[in-house]
Amino acid sequence: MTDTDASAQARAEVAAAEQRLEAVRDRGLGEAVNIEQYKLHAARKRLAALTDDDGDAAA
Amino acid sequence: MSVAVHEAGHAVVAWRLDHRLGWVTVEPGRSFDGCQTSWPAVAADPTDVDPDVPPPLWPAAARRNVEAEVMVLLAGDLAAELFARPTSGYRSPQPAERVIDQLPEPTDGERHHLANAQAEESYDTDDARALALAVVAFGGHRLAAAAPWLTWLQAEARALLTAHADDVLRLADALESRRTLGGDAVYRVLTAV
Repeated sequence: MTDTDASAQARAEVAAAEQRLEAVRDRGLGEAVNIEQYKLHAARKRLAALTDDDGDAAA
Repeated sequence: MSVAVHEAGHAVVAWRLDHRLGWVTVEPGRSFDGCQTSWPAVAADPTDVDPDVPPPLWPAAARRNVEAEVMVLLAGDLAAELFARPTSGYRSPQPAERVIDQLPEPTDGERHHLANAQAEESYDTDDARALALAVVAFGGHRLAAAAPWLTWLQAEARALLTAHADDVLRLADALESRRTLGGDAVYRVLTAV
């Protein structure tokens, strides 16, 4: 997997995590909201590690 | 009675861990036999729960909240086993062992990802939520450490339940008769000695 592929996958994971967080909020699942917030943070951290400030793939 | 003891177990461990108590019910819903709600008194920043950092190195509130959340989740089945099962020699699997059995292989990043995705889809059971928290806490490369962590949290929850057996049974009795209790009512039952 290239860095660009990895970055694209990481962006997709962030988007999926944001959708899941929204979904559990809509369902009123308080405990699940906490868990999804943790997962969203982890996904964002993975993405940040792969991309520079401009959102380009890291060298 | 076992549903009431199960929910009372969640509530008593939450109470002893200084969680704010919400309502408890033994009225069945679409996906549960009963339900208990509580939340940490001190909120933690979700960004402090970092799967790349071992939990002992997290800020205290983050570690305390995640560990307390897992203990509360495990406490339901523990209480039912301790106080409501017939003494016929049958022992159900320990909740932590069930969760440990579902942990993915510790060195396989792809399997970690899959397990994460599976856990995301099901928050309907205590086991699924405890599994999701263990995966979040230990990430893909340190999952081997999640098993002793879960076993330790189960032992802590069991010790709290054993020390507060009277509270569990008193709250379970109140739930049997009143079916649903708000947080203030739960607190009054637990402190009315």
